[in-house]
Amino acid sequence: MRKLGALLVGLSLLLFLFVPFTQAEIQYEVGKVTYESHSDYTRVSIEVTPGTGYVVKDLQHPPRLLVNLYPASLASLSKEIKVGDRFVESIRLDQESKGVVRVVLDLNLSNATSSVDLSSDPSRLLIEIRGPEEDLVAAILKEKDSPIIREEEFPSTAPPPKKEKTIYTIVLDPGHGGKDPGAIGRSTGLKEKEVTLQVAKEVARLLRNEAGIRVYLTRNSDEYLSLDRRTEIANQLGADMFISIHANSGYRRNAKGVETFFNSQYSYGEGAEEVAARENKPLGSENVPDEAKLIIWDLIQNAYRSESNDLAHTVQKELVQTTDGEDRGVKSAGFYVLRGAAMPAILVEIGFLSNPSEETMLKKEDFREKIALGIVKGIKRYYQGKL
Amino acid sequence: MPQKRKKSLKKKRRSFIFIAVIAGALFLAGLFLSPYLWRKGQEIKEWLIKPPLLEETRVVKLYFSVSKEDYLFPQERKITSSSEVTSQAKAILGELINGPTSSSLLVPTISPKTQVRAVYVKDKCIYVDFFSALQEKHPGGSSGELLTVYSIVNSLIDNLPSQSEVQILIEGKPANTLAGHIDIRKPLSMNLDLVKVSPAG
Repeated sequence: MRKLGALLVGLSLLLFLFVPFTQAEIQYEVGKVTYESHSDYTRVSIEVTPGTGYVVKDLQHPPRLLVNLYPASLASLSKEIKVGDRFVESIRLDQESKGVVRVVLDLNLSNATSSVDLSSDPSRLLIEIRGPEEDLVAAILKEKDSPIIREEEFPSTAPPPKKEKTIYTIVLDPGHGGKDPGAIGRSTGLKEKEVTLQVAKEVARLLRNEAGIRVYLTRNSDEYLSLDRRTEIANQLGADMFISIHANSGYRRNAKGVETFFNSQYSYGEGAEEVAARENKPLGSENVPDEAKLIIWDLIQNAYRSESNDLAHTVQKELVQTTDGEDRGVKSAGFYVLRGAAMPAILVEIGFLSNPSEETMLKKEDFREKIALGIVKGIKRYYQGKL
Repeated sequence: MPQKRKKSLKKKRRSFIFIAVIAGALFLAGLFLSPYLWRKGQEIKEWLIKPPLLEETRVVKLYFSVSKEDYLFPQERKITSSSEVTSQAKAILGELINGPTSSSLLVPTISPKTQVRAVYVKDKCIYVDFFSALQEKHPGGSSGELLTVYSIVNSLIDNLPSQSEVQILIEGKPANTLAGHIDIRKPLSMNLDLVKVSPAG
């Protein structure tokens, strides 16, 4: 009998050994799909296993929002939910490939805006579809506590500039701000958002007395501004030049010097111009689909590419000469903040906060004045060549 | 004699019960284990049909910063992985995070505290999903950010020529930028303008 007991104990142990194995595999399953229709938006909620990732794509003709979930599996082969409200016609789910579930929202508005976010407790994917974005800039311009500072508002004893000549509008964009400090100095903790604002204000001060120039800042205090909003402001003001001012940083202490960037060319392949031409409508028009709008913006920017290149080289040269800094040259790359600009646009990196000696220099007012002077000389040389 | 017989009969009956109990227990265990065993069997069958993915060692080019941190420069490194694109991509990224060899003058482009969450491939694009440390531990600055992004893109595409683009994701989500400068909302292709021909300077 004792043997029997031992055997049973052994067997149950064996069972316990196997049970965890059968449970170890995590099934990334897509659960309940629900939606709420509101007057100004529609929210779709999809239950997912924690750890599920996603990729979003906007599609047109007909307007759809495509979200691929991974890793994920669907219990049934496919699923379709009829919504039929102002924003969403239907929600379709299917197993796109092994481990990838495709979610398609058929939209009723071609210019709808969407936001997709993962949320926990319970773990789910939230998709919100709204109407076209409001004109943020128009709203800003109307507001009294606008972040845009007109040149006349700077404390000045000088008479206001005469405006009989063509007005040349320059938008200066002090990088980062508010919750986003940017790079932080390694020896004294100097924040990029502080240096960029100080230098931008100095550039504005130096340009203030120039006839025919009007200067605006995208922010005048330590506040957070999204990258989209910065260029939106410049576009709405019909600016002739957009200059984003930043301080650099690297992984080691050695990197130093000044560097200027302009945006790289966006290529959509052949046919992009055709798409844009087919939409042949003014840019502000609400009937232009978002995807086409993006292409149009990029094509406009491509048109300003050689001017941005010129501006970048002019400012870089003057900046190196005035500050006697190391010349890191001019490069083009895909900068988020320059992408939406419908004018020559550059991003200036005035020095390295990761380099202790440059950080110390950037703390000094007279050095910041030198940098501002370099930028101003570059701006003036560039626009004088244009007048 | 009959006593003895009785005894042996009793013994036989006892051993019969014993065997029956074992058989019953094994039957029950089998019932419990059958789904697992069936799945295991399928796996073994798959494994037999499809030869196991052999680990192979190959030399790859990893792109790190030159000491001035204005350009990238390749360094060769051995990686061991299966021949699958995702497995090779993970090995390449692991070595990129480990950084350049200390004897070289090259500078890392990613914080060693960064980890890859997942890698997946679709339509010639490699999606690399990083933990948020890639953003949080980034020193910031356009130069540093530009080199981080393209050290990842160039190291993957140069060594995995069957793929053409890379999209960087953070914690399973697409991101606007790593530190406020370079647009990473869409897949990116290799950038050779940022690669220097000589490691000096």
